[in-house]
Amino acid sequence: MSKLRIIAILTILILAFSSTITISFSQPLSATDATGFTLSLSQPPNRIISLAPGNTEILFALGLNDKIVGVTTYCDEPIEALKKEKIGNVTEIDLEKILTLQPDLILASSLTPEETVARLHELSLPVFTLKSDTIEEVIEDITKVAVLSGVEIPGSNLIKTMKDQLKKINDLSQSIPDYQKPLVFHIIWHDPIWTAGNSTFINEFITLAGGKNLAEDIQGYSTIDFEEILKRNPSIITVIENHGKNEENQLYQFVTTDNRLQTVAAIKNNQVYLIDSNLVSRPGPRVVSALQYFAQIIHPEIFGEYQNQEINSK
Amino acid sequence: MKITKKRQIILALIIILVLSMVFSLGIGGGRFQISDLLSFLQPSSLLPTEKTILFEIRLPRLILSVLVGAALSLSGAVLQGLFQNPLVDPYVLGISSGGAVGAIVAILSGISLGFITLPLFSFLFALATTFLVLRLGQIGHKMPLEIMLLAGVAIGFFFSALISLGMFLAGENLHQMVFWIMGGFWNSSWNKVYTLLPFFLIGFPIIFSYSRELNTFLLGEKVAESMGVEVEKTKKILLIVTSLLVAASVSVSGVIGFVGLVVPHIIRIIIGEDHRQLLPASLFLGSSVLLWADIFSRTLLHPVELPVGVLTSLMGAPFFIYLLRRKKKGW
Repeated sequence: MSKLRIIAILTILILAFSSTITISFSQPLSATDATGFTLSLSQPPNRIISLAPGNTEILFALGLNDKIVGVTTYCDEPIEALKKEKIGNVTEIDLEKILTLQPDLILASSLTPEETVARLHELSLPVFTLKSDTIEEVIEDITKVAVLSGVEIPGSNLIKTMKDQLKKINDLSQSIPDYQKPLVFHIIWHDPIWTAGNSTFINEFITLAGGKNLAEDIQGYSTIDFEEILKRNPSIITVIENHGKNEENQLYQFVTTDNRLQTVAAIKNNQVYLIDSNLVSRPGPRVVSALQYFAQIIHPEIFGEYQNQEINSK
Repeated sequence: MKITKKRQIILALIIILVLSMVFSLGIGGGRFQISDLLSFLQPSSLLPTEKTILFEIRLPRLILSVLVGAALSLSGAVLQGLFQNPLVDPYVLGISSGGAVGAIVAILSGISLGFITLPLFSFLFALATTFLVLRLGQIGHKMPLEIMLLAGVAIGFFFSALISLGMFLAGENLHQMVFWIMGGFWNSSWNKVYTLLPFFLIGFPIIFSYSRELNTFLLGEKVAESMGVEVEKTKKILLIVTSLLVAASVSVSGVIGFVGLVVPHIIRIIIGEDHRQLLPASLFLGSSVLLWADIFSRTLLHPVELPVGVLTSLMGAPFFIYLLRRKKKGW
């Protein structure tokens, strides 16, 4: 009896010991997303689907190229993303396609319809939602994706680079006194004039880069009274540029030639800049580049000249 | 109601319109400023920016909203009289849907002929729609109005489906379409005023010259014919002229609902059915209504600008229901 008891105790101890060892070896990869949902994966994912262009950029930047099995039709950066299987556009997602791809991680975004995310949860698919309103939050999201995907080391390099760049620009622009912060007007569309107010990435870029957003009293993306543009008189105008469509020139042309805008300082002093729309609207690894561009546009004397082929050719 | 009383009402509407126009010129920065108004009297003392604001932004915008308001209400009054149907509005022949399809085709195809592209496409499509409906509604040499009406409604539905399809396919261009369809005077310029003006200068007098014929339509087409009215010719001319006016309006301001449907009804409640007074009264009231809608669109959420088309319906519909329940008159 006592022998048996000893053996039993020993077995239990060994089991307990070994199980602690196994636990420490395969600690679940776990993170909590913006919707409050905690996703735990028992092993690094091998079949990842991205539901937004920003997410795709994050995955590629983390070196997960081979693990991506599905992206959206809008995912065009980097070019390799174009070759990946398409699961729909950002707002219309093909659930059957997702199921046939057998993903072990799905990255949703703030643009993914809530019903779609709910449906993915119902189907017990491992979905994780990335939602960020600031550069800091983008960096946090990238950290979470790195943790979930088991690529913390390349992840930490990327994150460090991003943080360093953010800090560098922030430190430099902090020393700029308010009176040297030019008024910047960002135009997304001209008919009607559509701009980015507070709580947008654009607002953060402009502010962090040592400028003042003309539309900072407006919430989110919005129309603006034409008169206000003239009254506030921006000294810099940034204009969205869409790739491969001829309307981008229409917007640039409108801004530079409309006779009502001719009294505006930015127009008089040739301070109209084209900026890549994907760069400034996607919460992904390139947000710091976008910030860098805004910094160069707003304070070239500190951050160096802004290089844009489009501008040079004009 | 006596004719002198009716004339007084029309005079009052003119005075209201003029006062509203003056008031509207003083609206800027989300509020009324008398100093802005006084600046108009001495333009030479103004800074270039102030000059641009007053003469290149406010003035063309004011004129455009007045013209479009006039065109929509006048067309509404004519078409309601012609079709003898209270539900008819200026867009009944599918003109607005046609215009919207044109705008969407321009946006989706990426065709660019400069800033005229969108207005041009929407005008051409609106015009094409009109002639399609007129053709479909014509049987032999006659244009039976019920058939015309139904043809217009059917074409309208067809085009609405095309609009939905276009929006579904729009992707990143969606916001352009949405803004266009919501209607507004966002980018009013003198060029738009000059493009529109000929239509109005020719259209308005023609319509007014048919006031008597429209009155006979109140008694039915047969009676009108027996009174010596050339029914088919009248119908054709009025339909073409109003369609041109509406197509031109839609091309510069997008789809602005409600004004054309309701203003004529309000006038009917106040002044009666005689088109000799109904038409001018609708014109002046329509102008004022759209002008005020535009004033609100610029001031309610300043510096954000609201789409006028949304405001006209939001403000107008409850007011109209109130009027209907109070008077229980008219149609």
